[in-house]
Amino acid sequence: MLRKQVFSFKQAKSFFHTTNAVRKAYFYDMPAMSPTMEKGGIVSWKFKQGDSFKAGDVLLDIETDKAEIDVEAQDDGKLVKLILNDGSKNIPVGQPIAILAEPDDDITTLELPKISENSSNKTKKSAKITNKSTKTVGKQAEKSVTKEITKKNDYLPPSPVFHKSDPNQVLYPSVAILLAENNISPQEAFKKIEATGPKGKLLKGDVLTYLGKISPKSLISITEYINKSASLDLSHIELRKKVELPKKPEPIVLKTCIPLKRADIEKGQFTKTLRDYINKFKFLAHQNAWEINNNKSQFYDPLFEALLIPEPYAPRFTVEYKLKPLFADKNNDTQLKNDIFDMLTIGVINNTNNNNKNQENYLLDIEVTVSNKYSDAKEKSERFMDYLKTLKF
Amino acid sequence: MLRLSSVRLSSRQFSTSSSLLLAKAKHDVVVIGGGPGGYVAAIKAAQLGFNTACVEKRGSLGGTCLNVGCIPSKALLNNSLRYHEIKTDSKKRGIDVKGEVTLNIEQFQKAKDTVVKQLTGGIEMLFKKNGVTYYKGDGSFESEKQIKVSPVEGIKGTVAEETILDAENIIIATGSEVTPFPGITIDEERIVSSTGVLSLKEIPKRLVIIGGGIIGLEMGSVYSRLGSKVTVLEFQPAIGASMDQEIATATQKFLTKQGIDFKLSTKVMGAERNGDVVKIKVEGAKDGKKEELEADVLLVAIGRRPYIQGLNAEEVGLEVDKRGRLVIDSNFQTSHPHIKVIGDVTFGPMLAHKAEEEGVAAAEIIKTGHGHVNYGNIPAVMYSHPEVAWVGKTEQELKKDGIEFKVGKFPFVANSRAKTNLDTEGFVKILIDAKTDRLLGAHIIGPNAGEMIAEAGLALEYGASAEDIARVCHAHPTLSEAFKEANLAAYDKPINF
Repeated sequence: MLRKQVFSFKQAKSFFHTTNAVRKAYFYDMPAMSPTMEKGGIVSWKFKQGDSFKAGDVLLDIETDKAEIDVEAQDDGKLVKLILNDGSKNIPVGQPIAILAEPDDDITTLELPKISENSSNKTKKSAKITNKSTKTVGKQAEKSVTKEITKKNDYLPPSPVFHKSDPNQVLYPSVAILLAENNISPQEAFKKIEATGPKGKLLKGDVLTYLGKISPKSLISITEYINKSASLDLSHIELRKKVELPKKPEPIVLKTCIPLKRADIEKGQFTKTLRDYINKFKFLAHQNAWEINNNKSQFYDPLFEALLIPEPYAPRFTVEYKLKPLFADKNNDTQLKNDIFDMLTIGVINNTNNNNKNQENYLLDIEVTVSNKYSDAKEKSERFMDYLKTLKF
Repeated sequence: MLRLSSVRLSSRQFSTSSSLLLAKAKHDVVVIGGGPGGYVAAIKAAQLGFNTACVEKRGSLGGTCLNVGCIPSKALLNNSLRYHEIKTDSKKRGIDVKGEVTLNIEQFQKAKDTVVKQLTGGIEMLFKKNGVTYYKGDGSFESEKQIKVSPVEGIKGTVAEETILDAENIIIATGSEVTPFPGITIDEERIVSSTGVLSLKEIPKRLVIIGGGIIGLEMGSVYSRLGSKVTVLEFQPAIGASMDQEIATATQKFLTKQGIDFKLSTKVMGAERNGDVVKIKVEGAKDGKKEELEADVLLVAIGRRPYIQGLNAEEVGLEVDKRGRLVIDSNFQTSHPHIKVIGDVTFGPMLAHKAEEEGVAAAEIIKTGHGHVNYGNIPAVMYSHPEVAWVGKTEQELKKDGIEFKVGKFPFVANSRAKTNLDTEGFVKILIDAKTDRLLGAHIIGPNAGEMIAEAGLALEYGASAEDIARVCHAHPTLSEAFKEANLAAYDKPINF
């Protein structure tokens, strides 16, 4: 695969003749005016030796057994030397008839190719054909096909726009007609012609290029153009300035620590698990006004109250708690802050001396995060904290 | 239990988090938005075997297009055209109408509403058939992989409570909204947007439209046929937005002939409602000449803008460009690979059929990694009469890009079917590559142009040359022969002209 690409790239270079420095003059071969043409004669050259010509100029007139045909130059160039003059007959297709060069080459310094190089230095730059008489084409359909196009891919520079022709495709009308006119069977076309259509479909432009009627350059550039517009242009995206998002207010977190004695726990006063207590308090704290209001006025209407409260059953806060063992024995009723401090310091001391397990205390560390979505969240959270205070043993 | 944990796992966490109380569901694909992009994506994803959900807050599916866009406007366009034809066009065809032809505006609106209702209901049926879970509610990002659906007040069948959807893949298809005109307050009564203009209670004597794009020209056509004096104000020197210039000029010509006034290169300075009259201040964009216009109804139709309000898109790290579009790569992917964006809310033309294509492609990309939308082949249609339709490149685009091209044109006045219909306004214009004859663009003004443009789309997709189209047998006598002849004209010569 890689080797193949390198190979065709070399060919492309010689095809496009972009650098004059490495260029020398090249042979202009007897062109094939139809796929079946084998020999022809030169009626007359339209340029003299040393003349420059432009793409599209008629270079010479050629006669075959069927018609007289104008041969147009495909690129700009210069006629360096005529090998065969007006009136030459029975020239086989592919035999050099002139030497051409780039329009701005200096003939005097130019290195001329030797006739013997001919076969290896075959150029495809030859000519664009204008048939004066289309009747001439296709009469002898059986003969072997054109020498002009020899190896596959010879006629194309490498480009990602080309794909192998799908051998199972139905030919487009224009393609079918072009192939028939030039006595190319579909099988042969699938083998030799590279496709630019979707999924290996041969397009009119592909066949025209193969026949040398248009330059590969224009086929490649239009295909690239169309392929490019098939996708969105996402190359110039300008991001908008990040809008400073309003900072979410820091959630209110209520914290408390409740000391518990191991002795209490073991006495069996903990008839329920701690989780049950917490959930019960949560439920109580979430009760709405009409559910706990004891001194109802005569105007009190629970339904109306319910309407006033947005999402009355949505949670107003979340609770997280940890139970930490505490190896102190004297801190039961002291203040919260001292508790933590003492716990840290005394705890270390007691680590070396923890033989009296009955003296162990625990610290219930509770964090309540208040939702900022509801106006009554704070109130309900505080109610929860109050309930916690009743957790005494 | 407590003893064990308290002794051994002293720092173990217990938590009763609030999320336990929220309703939850899990889906492979969650689509936010039930418009033409979203609902198509959802159905396709379900067909590909994903557990799919679609979140929509409008209360009915189909998005802007079905509810307040393409569909209702086409109902108005079609019925107003019939009314106008019966009134003005029947005599020369040999149909004498005895008595007065009048408009029953109530029934006129009802016909439109019925269609909308049937079509939106139809999508709900399709959801059921394909097993798409439909959440009627307001969708927003809770986190990268979670969508929160909140109830929307006043919508029948909205979700009962806030619901969290865990989503493997998310497709955002939230669409677009009317771009407001700075300084003009839309009340949807006298100063209306494209939504309000669809359901005016009476025919305004004077209708002024800001914006000479497709929406403005279509609604201008409707009310001009129903008897309004319509004036279109456009800041640009041409109407028709992205139309081929030649087509835009011809369009302006036939609309002017139909009685619509155009003020191009005109800047609107402001507008105010004064009782039942709207006063509009304008200024010439070039000469600075000031003028004041009066209207019974003012339609603001200067375009649409991406809609991501309340989506929390930026909060979960999605990028937004200067024009408010969510940023994607060529696979509709955002900075989070599992979040994709399609339709009006991202890049490309704001068209329902473009969103549909993207919906299918996005679902396929989730399934297989590959999906295809050809952005070089997205048709546009304006449903005036005659219709205007185009696909591919315009002449000015090709010139700008330095592409050598050939043009083929064929007028409907030379088409036998158009002649027999007494409906010969317009022409077909074909643009092809000068060397390969490959079709590059097709532009049609003419009866049924919107249907005819499909042929051009097919040809473009397959890389056809003008010759390929011209060599296909077209039935006679049909309008489509004009399309064939224009192609013939592009690479060779037309037969019938």
